[in-house]
Amino acid sequence: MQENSIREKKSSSTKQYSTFYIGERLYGIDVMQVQEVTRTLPITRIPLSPNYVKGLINLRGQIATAIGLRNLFELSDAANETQMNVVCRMDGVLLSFLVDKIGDVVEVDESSFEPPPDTIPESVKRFMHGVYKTAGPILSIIEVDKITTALNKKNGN
Amino acid sequence: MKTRMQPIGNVLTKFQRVIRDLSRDLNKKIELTLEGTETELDKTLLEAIKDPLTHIVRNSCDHGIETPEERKKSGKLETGRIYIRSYHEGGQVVVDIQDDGKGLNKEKLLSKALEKGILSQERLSQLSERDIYHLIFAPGFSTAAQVTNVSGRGVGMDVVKNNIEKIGGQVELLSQLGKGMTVRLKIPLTLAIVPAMIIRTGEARYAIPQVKLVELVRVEANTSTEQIEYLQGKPMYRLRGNLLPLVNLKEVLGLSVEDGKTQSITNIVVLNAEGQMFGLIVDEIQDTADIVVKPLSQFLKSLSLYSGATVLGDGSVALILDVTGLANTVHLSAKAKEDASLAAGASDARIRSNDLQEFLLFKVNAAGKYSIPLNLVHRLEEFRSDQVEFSGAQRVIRYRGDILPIISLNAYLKFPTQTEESKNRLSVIVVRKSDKHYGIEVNDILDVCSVDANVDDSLKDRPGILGNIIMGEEVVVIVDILEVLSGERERLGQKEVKIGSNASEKAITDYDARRANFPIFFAEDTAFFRKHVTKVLQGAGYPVVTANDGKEAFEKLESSTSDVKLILSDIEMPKMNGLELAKNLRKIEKWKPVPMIALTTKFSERSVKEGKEAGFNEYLEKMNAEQLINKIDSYLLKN
Repeated sequence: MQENSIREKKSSSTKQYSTFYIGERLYGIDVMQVQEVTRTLPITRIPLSPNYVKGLINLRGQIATAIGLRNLFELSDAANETQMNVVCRMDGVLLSFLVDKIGDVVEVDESSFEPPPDTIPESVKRFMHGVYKTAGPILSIIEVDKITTALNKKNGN
Repeated sequence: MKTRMQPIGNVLTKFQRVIRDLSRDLNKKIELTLEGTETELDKTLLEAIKDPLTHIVRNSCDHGIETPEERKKSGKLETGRIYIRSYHEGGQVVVDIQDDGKGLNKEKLLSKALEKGILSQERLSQLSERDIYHLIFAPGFSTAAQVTNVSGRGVGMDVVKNNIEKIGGQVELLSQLGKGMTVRLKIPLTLAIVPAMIIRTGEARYAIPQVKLVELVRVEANTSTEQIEYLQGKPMYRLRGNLLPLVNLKEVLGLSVEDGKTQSITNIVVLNAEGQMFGLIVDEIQDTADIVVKPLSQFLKSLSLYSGATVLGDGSVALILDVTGLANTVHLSAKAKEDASLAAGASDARIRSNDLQEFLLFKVNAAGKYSIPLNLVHRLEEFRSDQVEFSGAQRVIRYRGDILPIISLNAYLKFPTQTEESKNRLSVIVVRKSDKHYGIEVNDILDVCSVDANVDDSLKDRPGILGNIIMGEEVVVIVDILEVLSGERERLGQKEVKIGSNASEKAITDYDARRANFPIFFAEDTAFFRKHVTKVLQGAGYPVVTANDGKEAFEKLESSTSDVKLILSDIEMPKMNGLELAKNLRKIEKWKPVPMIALTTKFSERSVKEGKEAGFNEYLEKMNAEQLINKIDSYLLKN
């Protein structure tokens, strides 16, 4: 209901992003790509997997692979104990991104968009679509596609 | 998951052609209509239903659809129709193969069943319509009036039924006499439900597919007579006389293994990975369960240890262990180790030989028994310690007018050597190599044992060990005496004999350089001899290519574009023996002029004659290095 009303209001020049925090940094994923946001769920570790693969999560009978964005972005590992899940479905595969804190769904104006500045470390930049200069902190947009391709590439598949 | 799902049309569309061809062969007019070709099915299932489907379609054409004349008579269109329809229904994929032919004739089925003895008279009355139709699934049942090359060969619907049931599907028949029949296949969406054993290791639980599971063994530290033994630092368990290598799941998964605490109970899951048995040590064996296999994300596929994941009854997620992947992971390390120590020769992690071989058993300063092949032993001697003299630091003994260097096996294998110095008698195995005698000093000579066993050379923790063998109830380490000797010879400043001992230095280097241009192929199934002869040949400077049996040899040579100049072969080998190998090779133009030498321990006039008839140029004894090199030289270098 609420989503519908938002969509009606939405003009062609704005986009909606589901935002979350890793540390103090604000990130966003296109709201249409996010299936749901859940609180901390028990994780089954996968021995021998890369460090950013945190394990498997039972999401109402579906198995989602948990990806630690903090590790993937190679940020310092001051891991928050309670991690929230941002669950995205890509090509039928469930990925759950572990983040520190969930933010709002924000609507941003296309005019405030800019491609990622050059000085951003490559470890994060390669997943970024760009940034929005919002009234609050600057919002970095993460592309799930880029993450899945990077993941697949890393493992030679 | 998605990549595994494929439209059934991939398989169905090829029936257009099958039917076109068949209708021409059978002089019938048949038209095929496909519906629901976009219905998706697991790739493996699609593969599995391909043959049954083909069979059903052929059956419909041959038995179902009548000839145009018959059809006209019964008031049908001349052209028969076959419909294949597929659709989803209740979590299953249904495939209907329907024809408008004559349908199943109950009377005919029954009389046929009686005639073939599939049914007894009194059972007849109890049969329902469905039961009668299902008679066509009985093995050996065929109602075709005559055998054609299309159907009626007695292998048929029973195989169809078996194949469909094997993948968890069902076959149903609907028939109306004179109007046609429908075969309905119900196929599960995926093969995704498997029975599994749930085990626990560390914090997590894992599922092991039952098909790979052989048995469960529980070893109690205090009570069981059979214990886990450590062979060269690797855990082993004797399972009814067979040596079962053990693998600790914790170690494989890289979890911390608590060393200090010895567990009183060890749970072993005996697994079979494509013929290779091994035991997996786990913390706890929990329960069996039918699990739903969920594939792992694409980017985790490279972890060959897991074949998927599943949600257990309590909602937690468990990984499914891939037994084959597990075995490979474990074996890779063993293989790499072997490759390093075995510059050339054997490439398999496990080499099996079925030669009955005699071994001399002895003790050294280490646990367990050690042995060497008896045919390498020249004599067994016992010397008093005051007979030992010294040449520099080398202990020697005057022995039959010659000087016998004494080599301590303990020292070579880097075992403690103190005890042997205090002893006043020396047990010495005299080994003869290249006209020289060597004394191998051991602690005690025990026994001679003849075993028909496989030398397992996947485990060796130090140079000088060839592998292990099971004798009765024990694991015996086989010492690579030839390696020990060549190691010692280098130390003693004796050159490896490259050619008859009277040859001059110059001739040797000259030969060496020329030998490199003549690659030699060597087929031998016994790891010991293969390694030894390869070493001798390579020592002389010949490049060597090896094969583990005649079949492998033939396959390698048949296709090879290599420039092998001479072929050496053992006679008694599994799969294809030396004689067959020779016969087969002589048939190929390329190998006709190439000299072939048989290496064998068997010498009788008859066997030599047989060998020469098969195509061998020469018969030589296995362990005589000089003779071998001389002969090869005479074939390759002197003319």
